[in-house]
Amino acid sequence: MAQRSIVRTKAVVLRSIDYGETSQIVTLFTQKKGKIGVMAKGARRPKSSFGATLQPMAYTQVVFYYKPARTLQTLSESSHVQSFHRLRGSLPTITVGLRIVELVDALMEKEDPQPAAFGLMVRALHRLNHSEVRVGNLWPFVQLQLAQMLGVAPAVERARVEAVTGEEGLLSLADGGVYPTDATPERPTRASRSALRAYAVCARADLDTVMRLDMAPAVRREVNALVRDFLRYQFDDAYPDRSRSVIAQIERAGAPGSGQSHS
Amino acid sequence: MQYTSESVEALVEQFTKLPTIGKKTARRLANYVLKMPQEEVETIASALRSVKEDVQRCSTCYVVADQDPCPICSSDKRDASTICVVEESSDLIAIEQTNEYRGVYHVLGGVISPLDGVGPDDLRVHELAARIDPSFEDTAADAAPAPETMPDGEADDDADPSENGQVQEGETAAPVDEVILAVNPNVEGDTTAYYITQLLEPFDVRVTRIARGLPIGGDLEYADEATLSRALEGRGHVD
Ligand SMILES: [Zn+2]
Repeated sequence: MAQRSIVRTKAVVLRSIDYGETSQIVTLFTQKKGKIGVMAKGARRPKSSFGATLQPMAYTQVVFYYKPARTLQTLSESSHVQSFHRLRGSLPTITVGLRIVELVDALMEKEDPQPAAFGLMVRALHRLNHSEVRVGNLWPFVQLQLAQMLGVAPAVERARVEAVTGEEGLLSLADGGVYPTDATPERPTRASRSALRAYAVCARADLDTVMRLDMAPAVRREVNALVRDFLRYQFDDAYPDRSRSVIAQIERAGAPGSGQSHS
Repeated sequence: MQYTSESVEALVEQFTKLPTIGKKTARRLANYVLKMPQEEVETIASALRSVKEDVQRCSTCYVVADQDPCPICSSDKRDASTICVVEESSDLIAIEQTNEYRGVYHVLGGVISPLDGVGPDDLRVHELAARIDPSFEDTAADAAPAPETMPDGEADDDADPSENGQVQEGETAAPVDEVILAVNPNVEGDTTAYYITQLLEPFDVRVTRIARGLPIGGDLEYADEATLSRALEGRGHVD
């Protein structure tokens, strides 16, 4: 007989879908159990005790009844560890935050605890909540870090990055490494030297350094495309694409300073 | 293989397309329909059909109504200089029930939700901007294809401007002073509110949001009238 147990853990909300009249089905990325689906009964009632804690990107302490073999657990309590409310205060931070939760939701297996990835996500959202400039830098950084945690660390070697001396160099989609144009890595894709250098910083440096990196809008676009191509090559269809076109629409209409082009 | 009928299976299949209906519930519903008297089934079928055939959207505010323009847009007791932006027609009904609001509405048809792949182009956001400045349409036309509306969504062009001279008529339209965003206080609502605020920035219009005081995460639709009235009164600028 499957034993019912009570789990108390920190979690970040990845997704909330309305269910029935007033409930929600919530996908949580929990510290202890990994990605898990819970039913939050009555969550949409104005006086629900869950309050705002079940919004995507919320960092919360949850209690749920856990039964193995069940696809949806029952959420019993949820309270903010941190509300990250400033993160929800502007379009650029919202869009980067949503891309991060979408990515984690897409790449994590159910009930596969990944405490390092959990820590990365919390750190990233925290940073997003406190940064006003260059918030777009978080996006390539988080993607490459997560890839590394899932076993596909980009093989970026300093010497090879420095060997890129011309206008252009190569990124290998197979190993995520940067190469000069006369090298012959597997699945090469061409890119500008500045984009490859910025890519290398995002892949190797710590978050503080990455957040200090100044990228021109064109370079940022190129870096984002390189990272996307690398992850898509590694994770195939698991790499999420849904929010991308929406965010492109938002940015197209946006004033300078919105979204990825924020610097 | 079990004993099944293709027609029953087809009905189960259709029911599962409805929100919150899983396979089990769909099967229960199908079995129930199977036992219903013929006339009752006919009534349901014709109600389903007429909701698509007879109901239209107001070509000004896009609320679901039996006439176009809707009773609110065609009333001379409403103040057309204030537009309250709501997600769905049901939110409009909730606000109307407070008896506090005298302006007109704009129904977006949803909210911006990147995680669901719903963007501004899927909503009636540009139509809103065009109500504030009719020249907007021209500049946005190439950037954004018109969102899918109801079958008679084309009605835009042949709306009768003689009703009481509001909207659609360019220069003669009543100028809009204030846009009140009555979107739900959640991530999608926030995203939508910031997007619209940014879009309307070039125009001489005050953009406010009622969410303050409303419980975050709760549905506007379920807020009681007193709370909604207070929220409407205490609306503030979107920062
Ligand atoms: Zn109307």
